[in-house]
Amino acid sequence: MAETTRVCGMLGAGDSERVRRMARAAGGGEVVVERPGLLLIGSQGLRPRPATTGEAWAFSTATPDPAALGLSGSWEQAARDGDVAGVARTSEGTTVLHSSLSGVQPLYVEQTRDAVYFATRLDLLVDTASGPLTPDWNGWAQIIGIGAPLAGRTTVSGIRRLGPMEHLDVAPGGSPRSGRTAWPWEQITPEPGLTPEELTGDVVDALRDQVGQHAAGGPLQPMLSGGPDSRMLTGLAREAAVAAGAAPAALTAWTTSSDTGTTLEELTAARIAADLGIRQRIVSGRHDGFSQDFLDYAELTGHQASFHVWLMPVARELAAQAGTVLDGLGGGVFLGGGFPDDPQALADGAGPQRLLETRFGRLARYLQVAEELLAPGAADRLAAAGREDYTRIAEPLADHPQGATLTAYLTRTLPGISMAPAAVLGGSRPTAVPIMAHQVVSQALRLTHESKREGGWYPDLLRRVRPSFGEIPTAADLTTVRQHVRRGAALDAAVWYRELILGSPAAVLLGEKLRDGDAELWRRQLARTRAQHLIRGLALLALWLRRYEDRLTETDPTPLLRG
Amino acid sequence: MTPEADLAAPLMLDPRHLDSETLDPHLVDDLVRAEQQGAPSVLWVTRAEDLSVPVAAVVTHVAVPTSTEAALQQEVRERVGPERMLLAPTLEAAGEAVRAQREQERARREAERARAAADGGPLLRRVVRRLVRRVRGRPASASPGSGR
Repeated sequence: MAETTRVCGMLGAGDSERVRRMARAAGGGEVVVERPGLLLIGSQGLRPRPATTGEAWAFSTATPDPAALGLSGSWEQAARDGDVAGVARTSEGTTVLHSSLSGVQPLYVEQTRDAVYFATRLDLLVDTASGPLTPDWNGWAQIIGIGAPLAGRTTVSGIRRLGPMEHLDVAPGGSPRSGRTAWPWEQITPEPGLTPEELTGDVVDALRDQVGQHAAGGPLQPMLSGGPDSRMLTGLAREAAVAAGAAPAALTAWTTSSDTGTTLEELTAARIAADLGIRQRIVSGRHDGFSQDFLDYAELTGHQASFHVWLMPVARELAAQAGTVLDGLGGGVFLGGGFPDDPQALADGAGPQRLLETRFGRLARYLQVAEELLAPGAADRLAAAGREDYTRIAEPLADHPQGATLTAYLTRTLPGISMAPAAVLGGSRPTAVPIMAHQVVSQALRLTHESKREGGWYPDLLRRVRPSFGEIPTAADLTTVRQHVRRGAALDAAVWYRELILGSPAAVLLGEKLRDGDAELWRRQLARTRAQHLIRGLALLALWLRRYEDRLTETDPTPLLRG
Repeated sequence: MTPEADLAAPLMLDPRHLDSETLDPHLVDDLVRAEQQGAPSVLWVTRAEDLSVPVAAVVTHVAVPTSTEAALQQEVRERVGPERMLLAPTLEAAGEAVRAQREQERARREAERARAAADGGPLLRRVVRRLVRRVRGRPASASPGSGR
């Protein structure tokens, strides 16, 4: 696959010129279909899908070959088995726009009375929207307080992101109707007595299949942090390269600094690369490039998240490479037993309501410093806005046996973390997320959370991919001190954040300490994880207000201070 | 960082003796050890090309000879930032400079801690928060790899 995935279009009767404007802004693309009730424009990442009746097209962050995968059934089957979003058109002319099983491929929609406009990038819809833009202050409260907007919210009212297995249908002459089919991952429950080791072979085989499919389309560019997920994928990428007749040294693994004050990730990745006999490129960000990295990350994510600003330098480098990037999204949450419930709450026999509370407490942990750093009223307002949508997502899962995992996935991994592979790396190269495949996740969900806790499954998974992997400690195992100056918490970064936010209407959200503090005080706050997250959220808001200043119905974020 | 870590000897690196393409496994072991001990690692840069060696991405500091041209000093400052840049006449002097810098940092942190304790500031708040958490029950921590 040569090009990144860029798709936009329209179902129903609407303004086709708007779709063409979106396509031009996205860098062009072929008109794949233009019929009454359907206009679809996309890059090579938009592929026709064989359909038993009617026509269909599919896309994902690294679109597989739908025919080779046998994705010829219903859209539900394609979304599940290929994790693809897409458009299907029945022979009667009803069109369906659908998201994928994981929802990782972003798909934004604006629904009017007669039409649905859609795009894989938020800014395409926002920039071409008719009339003034109304800020979604709840969405912004979540971006600042949680790190990303929940429940399909975005930065503006009226434009939303489709969730997993969500769809919109338009019949000829009809109005759009929305729906969500049953989410297959929610229907899987752990099997008592099943041990992770019993599934290791199946999961590794499924990962091998996924990596092999992408290898068939060109060279692989594995991201290698040295953690268990990236080392598995890099090991499998090497296998695929060697199977195709290439020398291991022809494969390059990509490493960068996650700016956490240690270089043990880069060094561990170097050990893995040496063990595999492959090349490693460590791409580090320039000190004087920090603000540009932040600006670019904000643009690529539609100003919705800032978790992985440090990925920008390597994302730019990857844009000049060929083939498909491999990213380990989902490993921690589905394979690693991440986001466990509070052990104390479990030991106390806590009911669903307390589990909901503890899960929310972890999700909204940045807000623990909100009273100290933000204006009076902001902490409560941000928490309330987050809790409202969180509850809509999490309550139905409160007593689900995989409730902790699925809640973490839907409220953190999907809205925030997945932006890194889907929008940022995916903005440079097609980017595959093999761990998110149904063939992998559906196996992992057969296990109890407890059986995978603390990364307990990884040693067996790693040994099965390559026996020597289990012998190489991870950066997390090795980290004792964090002695490096963090680029995002350096004095120059503090100066930039401070000037940006103080010069913006977003300054109204600052508490006295930050409002009156000098750059050195801001630097000290940036060195605190929770404070840094809040400051980054305010910076996103400041940039967004600046970018859309002339088009917003209001630029004063005071609603974020009121209950 | 622990006080003991501050005293660990810096790892001094001269690009003339380093592989320009890959990180040598022995060097990786040295760097891992330095990271774990909190020992600074210093790359001695005399030409712009020296910044392209892989180890440049993982050292704590980059040292530039005081006698070098302003353009190189500026490039290093812009690339790694003033906090990570050292100006020194020799590699040995750079080692002394980084030790002195660490000592200063340690003194500053200790002064900050003392001030905070006197003000009943962040340190006291952290202690109170920890106690409250202990009473109410600790929030669950994330597992390895859980960030993704």
